[in-house]
Amino acid sequence: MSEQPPTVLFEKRGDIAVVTLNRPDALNAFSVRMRDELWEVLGAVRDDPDVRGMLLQGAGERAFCAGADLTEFGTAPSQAVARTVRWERDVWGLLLGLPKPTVAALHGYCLGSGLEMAVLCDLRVAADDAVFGMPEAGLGLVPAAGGTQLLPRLLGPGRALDLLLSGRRFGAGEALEYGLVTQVVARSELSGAATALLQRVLRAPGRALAAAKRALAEGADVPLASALDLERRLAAGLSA
Amino acid sequence: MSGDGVVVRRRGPVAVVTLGGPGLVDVCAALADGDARVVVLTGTGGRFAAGPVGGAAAAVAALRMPTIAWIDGDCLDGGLEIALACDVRIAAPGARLGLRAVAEGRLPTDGGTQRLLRLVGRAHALRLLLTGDVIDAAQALRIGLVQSVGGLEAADELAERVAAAAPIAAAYIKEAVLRGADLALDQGLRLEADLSILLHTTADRARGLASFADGTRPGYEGR
Repeated sequence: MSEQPPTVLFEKRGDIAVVTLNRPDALNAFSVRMRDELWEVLGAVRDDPDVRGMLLQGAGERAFCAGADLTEFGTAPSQAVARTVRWERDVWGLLLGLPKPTVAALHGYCLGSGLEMAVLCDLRVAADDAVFGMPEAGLGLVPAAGGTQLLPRLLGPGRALDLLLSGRRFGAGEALEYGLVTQVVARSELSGAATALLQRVLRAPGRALAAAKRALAEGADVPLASALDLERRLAAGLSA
Repeated sequence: MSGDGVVVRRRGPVAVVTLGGPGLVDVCAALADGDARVVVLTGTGGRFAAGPVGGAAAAVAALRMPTIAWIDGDCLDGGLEIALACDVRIAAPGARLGLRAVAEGRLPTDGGTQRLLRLVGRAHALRLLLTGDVIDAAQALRIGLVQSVGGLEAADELAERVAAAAPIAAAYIKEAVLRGADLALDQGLRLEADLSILLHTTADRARGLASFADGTRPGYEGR
């Protein structure tokens, strides 16, 4: 069998890791192999001291990621095995927990797991050709990469339920209106705009960025008094 | 106009509930036992809800299937509390929404303070509760109190879309979103994963995947 190209590309541009979902002929559909390769790449992003931030993008002209590769669904031998496998390599937890800033550059189809992956990043920039949607319910599925948890926290429960229950598709303009993305640019300017945003973020010291991410992630899940304590401790750690 | 009670009409998988008076709690009990895949709540006589509705919001919130409020005319006090208990709200252009209890020396008793806070955030919730201001559809859309502004056809279109989903998947998604809101994120992610894997046992999931593969309509059975 000939060597297949990697499904996830990892390239260092200065202090930025550019991570590219690379199954353009399959609209970058998220496969088991892509999960394993993304797991390796995200580990490198986390551990490489020269990498200070990550840009996540999709290869090809048509999609960031059109969702999970459904042809692989139903291959798990049992629910018990599927559950074990889910947490063996928690690629979504790894992405969500990266201590370095992450920006997703979104073009074309950004559906299902593709949208969930984008939402696990810190910031999102969309090209004007981006098409978003969560089609799971219509396919007899439940989102399984954090969509039911991250979308309500990002957009509020009303908008999240609207999108998750209807499965309707929407464009970059609506995404901007909902606060799903912070910026919409022409397709040709997407890479430059996302890189510029990440570079602007990276003007701050990495320790401060990591502390800010941690304050928001951990602070959201505890009572306000505890979160304020956490903020004080993190701030003291920075000035020490 | 409050003498009509609550009327339920079925349009295929969609149950359209018209709130013309008391009786919503009993209607919800019947819906919970029935096979409707989506419930659309709407008003009559220029009001979203007429007559006493105390306790009904909890019954609406407890429904496992998706619920949509189409808000035409006045949606005030107990009426708004029922709309807040629905999953998605669509307002007609002329809708007026508000919670006037505090301004009148009372407190909402059907979840109004809590569901409003969780839907629109603290600043907008406090403004509406403390002032008793009645806002229009455009303002409601801007603050996230409703998810869109449109006529009954907009609500029908959304209902048809939701009704085409696999019913158990839709119910699990609703559960994951609403229960997950009360959990720490890592616990919510666990809930989502468990529900997703539990869904593997349903015939509809296999049907959905097969239909996707051969490009046909799935025709879900809710099992």
